[in-house]
Amino acid sequence: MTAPQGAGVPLPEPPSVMPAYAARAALVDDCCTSLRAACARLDDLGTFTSGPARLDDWVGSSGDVYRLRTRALGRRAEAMSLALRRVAARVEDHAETLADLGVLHADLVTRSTSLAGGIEVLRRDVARATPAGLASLGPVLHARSVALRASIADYEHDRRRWLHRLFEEEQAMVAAFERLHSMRQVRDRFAGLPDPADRALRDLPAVGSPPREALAWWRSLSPAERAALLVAAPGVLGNRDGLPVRVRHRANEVRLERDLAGLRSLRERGDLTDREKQVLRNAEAAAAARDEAEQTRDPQTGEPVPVRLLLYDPTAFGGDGAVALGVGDPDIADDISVLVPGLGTDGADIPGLTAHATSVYEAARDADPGASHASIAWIGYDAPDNIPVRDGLAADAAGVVREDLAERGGAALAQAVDGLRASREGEPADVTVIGHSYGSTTAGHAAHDQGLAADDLVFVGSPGVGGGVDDTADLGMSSQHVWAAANSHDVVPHLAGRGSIDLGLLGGIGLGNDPAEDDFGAIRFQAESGSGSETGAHSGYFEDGSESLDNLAHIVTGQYGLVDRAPGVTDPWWGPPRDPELGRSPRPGPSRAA
Amino acid sequence: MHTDAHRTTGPPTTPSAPEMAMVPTSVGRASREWDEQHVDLRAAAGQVAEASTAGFTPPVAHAAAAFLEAWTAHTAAIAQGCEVQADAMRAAITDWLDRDAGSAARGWALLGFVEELR
Repeated sequence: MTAPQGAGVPLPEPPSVMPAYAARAALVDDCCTSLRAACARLDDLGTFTSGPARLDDWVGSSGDVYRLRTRALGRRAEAMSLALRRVAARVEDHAETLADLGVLHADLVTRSTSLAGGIEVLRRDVARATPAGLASLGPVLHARSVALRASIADYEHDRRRWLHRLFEEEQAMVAAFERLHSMRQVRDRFAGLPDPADRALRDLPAVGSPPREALAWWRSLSPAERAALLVAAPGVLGNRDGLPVRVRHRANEVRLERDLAGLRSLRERGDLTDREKQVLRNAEAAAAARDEAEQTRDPQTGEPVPVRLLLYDPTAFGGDGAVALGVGDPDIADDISVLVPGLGTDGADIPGLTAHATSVYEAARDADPGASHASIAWIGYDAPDNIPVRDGLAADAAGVVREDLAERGGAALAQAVDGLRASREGEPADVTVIGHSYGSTTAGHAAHDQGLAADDLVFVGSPGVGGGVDDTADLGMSSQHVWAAANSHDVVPHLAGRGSIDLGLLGGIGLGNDPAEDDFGAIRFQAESGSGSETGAHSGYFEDGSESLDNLAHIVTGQYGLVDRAPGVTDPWWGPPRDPELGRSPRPGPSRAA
Repeated sequence: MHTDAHRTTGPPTTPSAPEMAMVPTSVGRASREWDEQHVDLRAAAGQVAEASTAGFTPPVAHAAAAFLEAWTAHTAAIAQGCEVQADAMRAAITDWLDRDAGSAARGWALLGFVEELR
């Protein structure tokens, strides 16, 4: 207590200053991922030595010596893997604790500043009061002083507790590092121990089984088994629909970091095969997309947006690669949008698609600040390589466009959406699937063939939504939840079929009906860009400030009344289709750049 | 079932000299896989070496750095063990070729396995 001031009103001692907090939980988490990626390599060696490296057909003393050495290396690798994953798990816990402590630290700093300010205000009020005034104000000022003193005592208590918790956590982390520092310590604790991952993998549901089964399997595992699988089988966890997205993200991060380290090392030696170059290209694209997305700040809160790598297989589809990135957290978001890209897309295109997903995320948060959102850039199917246009224009390798890739992609998309729904623990999310270009054909097949579990389905720049779909009734969804965007300058929708006598520009190339046509039954919304460029018109649906993006934001947030609707394309039997939107000036949407 | 082109025992298999019985092509292929393990684990060692300690508080950062340094060495050592294993297998094939080239064609087919690619 400082010296009593006028009329015996004591001023409390100022609160203790909070020490600077230097920890950065995200970087500690990165360290954990690096350890797990290295651990995955050790695990690979253990698997190799107990399998293909055995060479049982090498008979004789030299073969025996070889196997002895192989077994020794295998045991060493397995013990190292068990030890390193133990430390990595502790580092992960440490990162979480540091993040918690960071939040508490910020709160304590705020309280300290506020209390110091309160003391200063009290000091001024006491100093300003005249002797006569003090006689009447004295009890009030005294009460304020007592209240401040109590708040400072609470603060000091919480501050001490915070310091103690930090100290304890630091001690525990240091001990974890020091317990497994030497190889002798590793051998003493882990040599010969079974790998918890082995039993867990035996019970893994078959590929293609319902996502709910995968989730039930995951929930049946012990914490040790889960931690083991992150390094022993990151590819299995990372790409399994139905597992919590945060688990898939962790596993895919391990696999990505492992790939990057191994392949970059080979590149430095000039020792990459063509196949490895392709895998590295996909891995680096995934890392670049993730890093770029992690720079995103929520437009409403200013906080960093969580980014989730929920699919990563750089070798999928003959090397084209599969990858999906979530901007926002699909495990907890109120609304989820899934962007399905079209022709010419492979894994290396994830940065561009993630930029679109980020645009949708930001627009959705602006459209409905009260709802959380996650927007997923999904390259989970093998899209055709080329633009399918006939008669002197581009064509794919076979010269025709087929729907088989869309059919298979539709099955994968439906499974992916089922997985997103299965892994959530709280209220179900409202899921909107947005298929762009050939991705709309894929989305159409997902709905028609697989009963896609989406609340809303949006076809954007569609060349047709699949051969079996005449109208929205064939999609198994209410026409009030099927949407279509077709910029009148976009040439791709002209590829779609329009009625039995198709006199359109390209005569319908065989990917099914045009969802923007009036008799299809979908709700067409405004998506003009004013661009005379057909390429720009086809790729501009997600552009910042476009009416298309603004309308998409209202759809994915369920604000259907705010969507600007557009009249459908008409298709008279005696002539070519007519687009009432042609020539309309676009309405500028909200722009983040502005 | 192995064909003669792939399965060739070394010196004539007699009760007194069975120790050289091997399938040179499978030994050769396995040596390549050991090379892959060596390359992968060397990369893993680099990854541990480059793992950042910047996020830790100062009292922990020191222990973290010491741990990473030790594990970089542990991982590099086991990577080296893989390379030694691969080299030993190549030496075994070379030895086999020296002792029992058998036919020039078989020898040529195996020469590729004698060289270290990675």
